[in-house]
Amino acid sequence: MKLLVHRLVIIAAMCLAAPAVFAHHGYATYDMSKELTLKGTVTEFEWINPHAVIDFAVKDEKGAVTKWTAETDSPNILHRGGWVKTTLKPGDGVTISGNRAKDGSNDLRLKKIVKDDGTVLNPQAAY
Amino acid sequence: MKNRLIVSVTVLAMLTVFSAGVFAKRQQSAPTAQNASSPATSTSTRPDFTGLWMVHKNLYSLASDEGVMTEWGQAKFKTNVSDGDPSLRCFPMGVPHIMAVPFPLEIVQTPARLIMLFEFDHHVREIFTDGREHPKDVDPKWMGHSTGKWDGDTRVVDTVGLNDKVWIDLLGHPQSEQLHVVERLRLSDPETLEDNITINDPKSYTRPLTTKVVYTLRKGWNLEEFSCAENNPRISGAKKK
Repeated sequence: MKLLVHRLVIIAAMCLAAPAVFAHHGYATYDMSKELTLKGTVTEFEWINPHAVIDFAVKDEKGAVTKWTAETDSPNILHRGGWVKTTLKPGDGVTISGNRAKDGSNDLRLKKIVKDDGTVLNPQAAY
Repeated sequence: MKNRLIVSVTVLAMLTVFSAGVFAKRQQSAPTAQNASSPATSTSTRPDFTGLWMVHKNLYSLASDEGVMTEWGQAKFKTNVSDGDPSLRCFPMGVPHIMAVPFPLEIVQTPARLIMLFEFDHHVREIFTDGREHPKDVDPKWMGHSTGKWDGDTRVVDTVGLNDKVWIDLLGHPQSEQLHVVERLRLSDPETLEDNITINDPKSYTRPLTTKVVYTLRKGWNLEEFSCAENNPRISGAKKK
């Protein structure tokens, strides 16, 4: 009995320690048949392999803010398409289009960004 | 009038010779030793695939529809999607998957081998063109065992010995150790490479799957550094610094 409890504690500890990995990454987790467009403000741009990530905030008509994330291509591919790591900065106003996660969470696979100054950013400009 | 005619004919002849030279440039240079594997084919038609290539578009699905999967394939597909993309954990993408992803691919053509250098985590694929056959009881691996033979101006690449730990595409469609991939590589023009891929995997699919991947020669590009291990903390689950 003591052994059983010990094992259950270990299993519970492992479950708590296990990070929520692979939840919303890679094409398999997105509904590639449906596109969503959102207007918001960049909160962070992570220029990192294997895929760069854009965090942005979307405010609704009542002022409530929702956090969203857009996953895109690798920095090398973005760079060949004209992007640099400062292409997006916190505070930038953006309209972001992408394919939403199949589970309905606030995650997109990026297709296009139009900045408020009119700049169009295509993550697939290199191919 | 006579002089003008002579000048015109001369210019036309020079232009013809020049353009023939340009188009012949990527068709030549197949060294003699390379042709030893299929001596029946004329050496003059052998193209040189050497160069840095980039896919035209992201072919994220290589399976035409979900209905083409066997019962085993459907079950494996569900498991794959649930487990997540192995390439995002830095495992090799395998063949044919790595041929269709939007990352640069450099090809080095030597007499005995076609060497493919992939920017994605710098994986390497060797295609033996020295006339050897696949080993017997080949041990399943990520990139398999590939041999290449000429069929006219087309390099036919045959790959077996692939494991079932990778996906055939970015959507998670499965592959088994029965997977047999046949690729037909050819230059449709001096700066366009085509890879016509046939995927035979009776354990996963009820019929062969076919797809065409098209690449453009990128003369100004070099392979750049890429480290999958840098990883995105959200993907790896590692703590963000």
